[in-house]
Order: sequence, then C-alpha cells, then structure tokens
Amino acid sequence: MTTSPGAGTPPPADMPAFEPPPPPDPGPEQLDLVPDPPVRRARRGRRGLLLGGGGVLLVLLTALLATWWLTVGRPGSALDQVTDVPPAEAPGPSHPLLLSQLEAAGLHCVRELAEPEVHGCYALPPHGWTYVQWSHDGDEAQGLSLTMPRADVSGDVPPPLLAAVALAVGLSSTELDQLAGAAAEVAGAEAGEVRPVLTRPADFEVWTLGADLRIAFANAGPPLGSIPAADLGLDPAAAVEVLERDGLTCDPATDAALVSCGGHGVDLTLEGDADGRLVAVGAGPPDEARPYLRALLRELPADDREAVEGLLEVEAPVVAAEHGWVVVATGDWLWLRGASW
Amino acid sequence: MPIRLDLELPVAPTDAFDAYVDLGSWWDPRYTSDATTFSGVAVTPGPGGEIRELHADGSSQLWGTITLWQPGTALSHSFVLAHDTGVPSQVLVTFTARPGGSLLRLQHGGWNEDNAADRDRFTDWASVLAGLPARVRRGRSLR
Repeated sequence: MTTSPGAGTPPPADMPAFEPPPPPDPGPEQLDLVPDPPVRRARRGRRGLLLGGGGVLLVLLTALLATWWLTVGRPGSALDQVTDVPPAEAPGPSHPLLLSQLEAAGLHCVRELAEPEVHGCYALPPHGWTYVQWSHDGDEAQGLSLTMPRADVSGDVPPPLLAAVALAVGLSSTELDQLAGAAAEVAGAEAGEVRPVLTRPADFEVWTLGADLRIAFANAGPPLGSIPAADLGLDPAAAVEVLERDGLTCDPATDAALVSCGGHGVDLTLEGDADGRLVAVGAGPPDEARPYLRALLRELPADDREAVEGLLEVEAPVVAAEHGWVVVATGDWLWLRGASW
Repeated sequence: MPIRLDLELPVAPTDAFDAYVDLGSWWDPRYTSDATTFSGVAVTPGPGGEIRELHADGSSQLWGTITLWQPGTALSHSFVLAHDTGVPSQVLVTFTARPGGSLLRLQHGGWNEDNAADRDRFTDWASVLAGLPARVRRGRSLR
C-alpha cells in the first residue's frame, strides 16, 4: 500500500500486488514445535532390540489375538460400533468452547430454556444483526445454527461472526472461505435453495429465511428455531386488531409470516409461525413502543405476562431471558420472542 | 474482490495471533502516515476497540475499529489507513493450526463503489506482512 501524502520514507515502488509473500524459512524453529517422528520411531526400534527373539514373537501373537478379539470377535466390538453409527451423526462441536469463543467475540449469550438447555448468542451494535442458537447434551452442542441478514453476506470477506462460529467449530481458513462463498451465493439466489457445504469437521446447510440467511451445522440434529416454546396467545390477525384499535396501521410485509405496523412514531413487526401463532414482536423506538407491546401481552398467563413486562424494561444494550421468553434490546429496537427448540 | 494473502508461521495459532496484534512491533513504519515520527500502534482488545497509529509528537491516527476479537482464532476490523475516500474497508485475519505451526490468512475486502478508488493503494500487503515472521521468531526467543 502507499502512504498518505507528506509521509516520511516513500514506500518501495512497483511491488507486485496480491502476491503471497515467500514462504517462511522452514528452519529449525518448526522442529521445536513437533518432535521429529523418525527420531521417535528410531528410539522405539532401539528398545525393541533389547527384547529376545522369542519374547518378541510371543508379544506379537498376544497383541494380534487381543486386537482381533476387541475389534471383530467380541460382541459389540469396536468394528460393530463404528458400523452402527450413521455417517451424518458425527459429534457436535464443544458447547463450552462455542460459548466461550462467542462471548469472546463480543456476542451476548443467554440460556433461553432450561429443559432442554438452549443457548442463544446475539450480536448487538457495533456488530450487525446476527444470532446463534444451539442446545446441548453434556459438552456437545446440538442443533447449532447462525442467522444473519442476507444483505450482510456479500461474497467479499467472510462476515466476522460467521468466521467466529466457523472457526469455533474447527473449520480451516479454506473451509471458512468455502462456507462463506456458499452463503454469499445462497444469499443472492432465489428463496428455497438449500445448499449443503461439506467440510472436514462438519456438514453445513445454508438457506434463506425471508430477509435472513440461516447456516446450520448439520451433523448434530436439526437446527433449533422451528418449534417455539412460547407464543403470545394471539394470532397475527388478532394482534393487528389490537394495534389498529390503538391507532397504528398494519400491512402484510413482503414475507408472508410478517406483518408491519406503524404510526405515532412507532414501528412494529409481528412474526407468526407456520401454525399462525404470534411468536415474536420487534418494535422501536423502545420508549414509545412499550405501551403497544404491553397491549399484546394481555392473553398471556399472569406469571408469563409479569416476566415479559419485566423483560421489556431492560436497559439496552442487553439480551435477557425469562420464563421461555427472550428480549434483545439494541438501544433503538426491542425484539421479544418466545424461545424455541 | 478482496485482497487475500496466506502466511505460514512456525508457531501455534495463539502465539501467531498474539504476535500479529502486537502490530507496532512489526509494522513497517514506511506504511504509516509519518515514518519519521512513528512510535507504535495501540490496539485496544475486544469488539469496539480501536487500532490507532501513534507518533512521537503525541499525535495519533485511527486505523480502524475491531469488529471481531477471538484470541488465537480471528481478528476483524474496519480499516481507514490510506483511505482517501474516508470510506472504511474491512480486514479479516484468521489463524488456523497447521502441522508445525499455523496458517495466517489475511483478507482485505469491503470494497464498494464508494471506496474502490482506495483499493489500488493496497498493493504491498505482502511487504508489510514480511515483518511478522521476524517478530514471531523474536517472540519465541524471549521464552
């Protein structure tokens, strides 16, 4: 690159662009990191020479017999276990590692549900809108998925939070580029395409979800998010009645599952599920929108309503969960949704 | 199209990340706003943290703001150094394990019609990154 006008020493001229630098000196420093395998084999070989010839034969025969019994002869042997495992059910990524990596990446993580234990990590400003969900059984994450706006996936540099998740589950840089490239293609394609991306640690699937893109880690169970654990006790049409009675105007948005309402300086988005249940509401600005949100809570049981009303008062930026409800407060927007699995 | 460079380093990803983010120790002063007074680069760890070029006269110049900070794994930040348009681009640096060390992959993208004119100024990333292996070797020798 060149320096700004008035800089000190001028940069070297005519450096070739976009060429990788020469490989680093493969000097002795690499040997410091990994013990030389041939040396280790030679050491083992020297130890072997100390055994007498008969002893070696006896040891070899015993080892062969034991190996055969453990892998083939014994009922429930290792061979049986291997062949019993469906190839797509490779272990999920480590739940503690995923959680610590995403928190280190600046996401706000909450436990959305206790049984099964479901975690959600949400990007708040300065990050763009993104969230990651998974459940876990012991240390293994299951149903991992990442959702982000299609518009944020450009086919240029991988989005930072996609990189964070992909690297947390063990993808190489090349596999990350492969996944990001597929995501960019799907983001720019017609809705309905599900693109598999096969990588060494995991199989991924990428598809669009309205204006969003969902990337699911396909090895360990279906992605979360399809079965809401809570709804507002209204269908979107009933919610529209409530809001229009309060003076807002509502129109179906471009996506069939969404309804947009506005007026009095407030914008609301109602999200219904496939069964017509109202499972999420986004609204802003928060102070002006709270009365309209409270009006939508009237069908909730008293305990839930009290919990959700508490969630609506959180101070941004924060993500909080209570009674199977999650609120994401960015400062200029509140998103209330029933947790899901 | 992003600018992309790979660099193999003879240390684990954690050490490679630590060396990389110690930007002031290996960045070629010629690629700063004033090489004669350049005194270092301040990196505030974590999302939202700043990367700022420092000078002996007390002045400083913002290079960008961190958008992803994953020690040992990835760093992403906006980048405005040498951007005449003032429209930031985006840098993503990932660190993954390789036999005998790690692979650093730098991707400099976020180019659009508003900052495309700045892209041509970034032809020397390879020269700049050439300072990093020496920094890595120094880091190892200190242990």
